[in-house]
Formats: sequence, C-alpha cells, structure tokens
Amino acid sequence: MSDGKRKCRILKEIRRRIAEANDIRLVTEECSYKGSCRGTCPRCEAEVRYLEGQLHDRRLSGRAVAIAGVSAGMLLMGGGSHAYSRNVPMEDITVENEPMASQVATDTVEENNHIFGMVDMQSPSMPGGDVAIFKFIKENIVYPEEAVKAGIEGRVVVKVLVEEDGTVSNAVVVRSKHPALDREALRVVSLIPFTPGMCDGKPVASWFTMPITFRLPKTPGNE
Amino acid sequence: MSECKAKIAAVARHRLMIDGDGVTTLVVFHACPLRCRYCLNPYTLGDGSSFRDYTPESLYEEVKIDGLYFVATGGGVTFGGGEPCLRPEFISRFREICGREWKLNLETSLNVPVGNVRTLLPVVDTLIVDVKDMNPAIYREYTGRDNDRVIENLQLIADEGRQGDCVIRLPLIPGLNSDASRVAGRARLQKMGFTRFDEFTYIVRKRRAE
Repeated sequence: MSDGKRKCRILKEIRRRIAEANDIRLVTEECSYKGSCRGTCPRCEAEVRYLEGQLHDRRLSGRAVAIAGVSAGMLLMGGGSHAYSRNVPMEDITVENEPMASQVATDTVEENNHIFGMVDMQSPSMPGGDVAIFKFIKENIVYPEEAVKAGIEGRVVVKVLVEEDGTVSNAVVVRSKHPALDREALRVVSLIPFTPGMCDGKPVASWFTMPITFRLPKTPGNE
Repeated sequence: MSECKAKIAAVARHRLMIDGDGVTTLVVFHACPLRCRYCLNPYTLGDGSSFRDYTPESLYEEVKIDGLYFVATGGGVTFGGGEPCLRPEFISRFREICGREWKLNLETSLNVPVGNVRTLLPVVDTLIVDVKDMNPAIYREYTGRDNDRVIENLQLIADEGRQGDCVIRLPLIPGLNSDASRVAGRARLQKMGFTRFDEFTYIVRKRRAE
C-alpha cells in the first residue's frame, strides 16, 4: 500500500471514530481511486466539513460533543529515526472491526454530491476507549526474547472474537510474521478487558482486528 | 492583527508519526543560525525572497482546516525549519489565536538567544531538540557554530522542570562523531534530568557526478 493510501486509510478511520463518538451516522466506502494519492482528496475533505457541520449543530442543540482524544494514541510512534523511543517500539496500531451481526438496513443521503451511508454500529472497546486499549497493550506486551536475539521484527495482524458478554472466545492470526511474535500478539490482545460491540443498541459478537508492529531499536550497523 | 511576520518555506499537512504525536502539520520557517554539513532542509538557508510572508493570523487560517484531526488525535502544529526559535513572538501570538487544544511542538537546535526559549517555553508542549553532538569541537566542525547557547538553553529547560517535554535527538554522523561521544553526551544530558532520547544514524548518500 502506498504511503498516500495508508495515510488516507488512517485519516478515514479517525473520521469514523469522531462520527461514532458523537452518534453521527457516517459510513464511507473504501477508496477505489487507483492513482497516487497524498492521503486526502476533495471527497475526504468534504467528509471533514460534513463532520464539522454536524458537530456544530450538535453544540447548538445543547448536546455534548466528544472530539478531544477520540483517536488519541492511534498513531503511536516507533523508535529508530522517529522522535520518540520506547522499550517496545510500535507503530501504526489501528483498530478495525468486522461485525458478525446480520447486515443492518442502510439509508443514504446525498450531500454536496457525495453519498454517505448510515449505520448504527459500535466496535468492541474497553473502558477508556482507544486510548485505554493502546495503553493496555503498551503496558502488557513483551518483546519475545528469542525474537530479540534473532533480530526478528515486523508486523503481525491478529483478530479476536469478542462475545456479547465481552469475553474473547477465539483468537486467530490474520497475518503472521514469526511464531514468537504471533504468540505474543495473540496473548496480549486476548487479555484486553473488552466491552462488546453494539448494533442498534444491542451487544453483538464481533471481531476485533489489530495490527501490531514489533520493531527493534536501531543501532549502528543495522540501519 | 499582529505586526509580526515570518517567511515560511513550506506547510506540510497530515504528518503521521513523524514530528509529534497525533496528526500534525509541519510549518517550515526560513532562516537558521547553523550551517550543518548535512542539513536536511538547505533550501531554508537562502535569502528567502521566494517564500511567502505569513502573519500568525494568516497561518492559523491556513492550518485550521485540519483542526478536527488535531483535537481528535492529540496532534497540532510542529514548527521547524530552518530554526523556529528565531520566531518567539510569532509562535506566541499563534498560541493566543489557536488556544490550548492544539499541541504546539518545536523542532529546534536550541542555538538561539536564551530569551527566545524563555518566551517559547510557556506556549509550546514539546521540544524535539537536535543537539548534533555535545562535544563542542565536534559540534563546531559539523555546524560551523559553537554550542554554548545550546547548553545554556538546555539548562534553562532543566531549571524550568520541562525535561519531560523534551526529546533529545542524538545522531550518529558518519565521519564526524562516534558512538563513544554520543554515549558521553547522553550521560551528560541524563545528569541534567533529560530522559527521552532518539538515537539514530545519518545515512549519507553521495551525490552523482555531474
């Protein structure tokens, strides 16, 4: 995936979370543009303006608006040449979910020649939201010693099935890097004290997908 | 509207995991007191005549398009360059305009008058400080300037108790410093109370023959 496409995907996820946190009905389609991209386009910018308008209306109607920190921690910086270093450098921990509930009927509205779908769904989470999830992972993940010794680093994608009561009933590796890294990613994500996903106000079993990048600190000679 | 203006070489949106937490916009100021051998942005060192003049107000009008991302992700604006600490009044006025929700970060060498840093400390959240090397001889060899002001400003930051808001970049510069000098520099900074470091290595690519 190009850097622009990756950036677009992350910004889209941020917009989705802002909408979700404020009960704004917003579903955007996967971008089908095939050319190079800087991470934003007129359609993406229009979604931001739409959200701003909705949040403004929400304030005017006296309802609480949640923006600050809605996606805080989503962009965790890695070590090496980046500005922040930590014992287990991680980057790009994003949250995706694939709800198992039957599809909810959708309505569409047209606004400024852009079509936004409407659904009413919430991802599995934990008390404190995404910030708490990232903090939990940071505090509990342990870089496997055999991987450190072998100089193994890379990205693992795992998904866990979060039941209606918040328990994890299944955990699978979606994308493997190395058995030791895979095991650690599965272990720590399975420990997250989830609140279940919701659909139309009811708890539902749903998958929670998380990529975790393990990166070793850079030292001279292994740049 | 304020009277202060600054030449800005570039405004780069949607920076992710590069110069601060969250989604940031990088504002690249013209002008720098240093002449580093391997400067990352040498185009900021010229006369600046091709760069646009901004006031703090006009800059805010341009960057506020991403305000929603800033607040949602704990991001904001990172001032770099060039040397952003040459513009303390500009950045202070910008803080007045944008409020406290946005994070304001500085990417700086700290090789500026102490008064500039004293003005900036109350209005910025994070300082990413590239000290090059703490050895004065190596520093002068690499940048063409002494590092007395750098040490003075680091001490000011320590006296203000803001070490936790600083990330000190300690590069390994091929042909100029060594891991030993970097280790010694880090130890000296740790004694001053700095705890956050970013160690990395310059990769110098040779230019092709014309």
